[in-house]
Amino acid sequence: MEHRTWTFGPLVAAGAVLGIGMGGFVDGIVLHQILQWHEMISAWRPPLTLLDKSVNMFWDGLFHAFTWTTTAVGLGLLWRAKGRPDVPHSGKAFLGSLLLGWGIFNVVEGVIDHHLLNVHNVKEISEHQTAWNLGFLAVSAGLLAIGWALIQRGRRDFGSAAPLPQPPDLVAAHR
Amino acid sequence: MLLDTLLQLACTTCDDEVQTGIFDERFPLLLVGMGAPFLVASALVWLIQRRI
Repeated sequence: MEHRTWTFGPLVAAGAVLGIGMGGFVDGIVLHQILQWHEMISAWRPPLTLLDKSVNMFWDGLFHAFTWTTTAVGLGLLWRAKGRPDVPHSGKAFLGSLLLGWGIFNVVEGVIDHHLLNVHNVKEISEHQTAWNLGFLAVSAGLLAIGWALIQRGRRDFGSAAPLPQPPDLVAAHR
Repeated sequence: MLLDTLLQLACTTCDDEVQTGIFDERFPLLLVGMGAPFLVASALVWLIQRRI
């Protein structure tokens, strides 16, 4: 039996990039559109008139274009990873990667858009905007930590130097 | 600008006011602010997956 290490990198990359895209969709769909807590530039240009709403909608559209593109890249990476026999079929590591990507994206987006540029706040109409912004970062850091822990559990399940399945095992695994 | 031209051609609901609102002097900064989180997060993921 050949002994080589499993390669988790491609699976984590695919899952995390998908997590960035899907996390962006959660932000755009839930916070921008359903709850309408904020829009993309609602701190710079409060959407109180049809004109300002239209301008915000343009930027929300660009945001969704970025999330769609990122999700498509993630799907491509997942397709490539799936074809590699040294990449483990670990549900825990994949789920963890999704959460890791979502958490990373939210933290970066929160720091840049909420705190550095202040183009919008998590809850625009609130007396506690800073608290909402910091809460968003805290929840995002939690997602990131849970994701990382799940990836580690997935790695432990497969072991760092477990034997790779041989071709007959691969055939059996797909039955 | 290509995006400006495409919008002029395709956007039947955009009027001049909306166009002016979109393409004001903050457009480049907003575009950077929009794209940076995706690029930075993707770069971090790339670094992480290399170390796993």
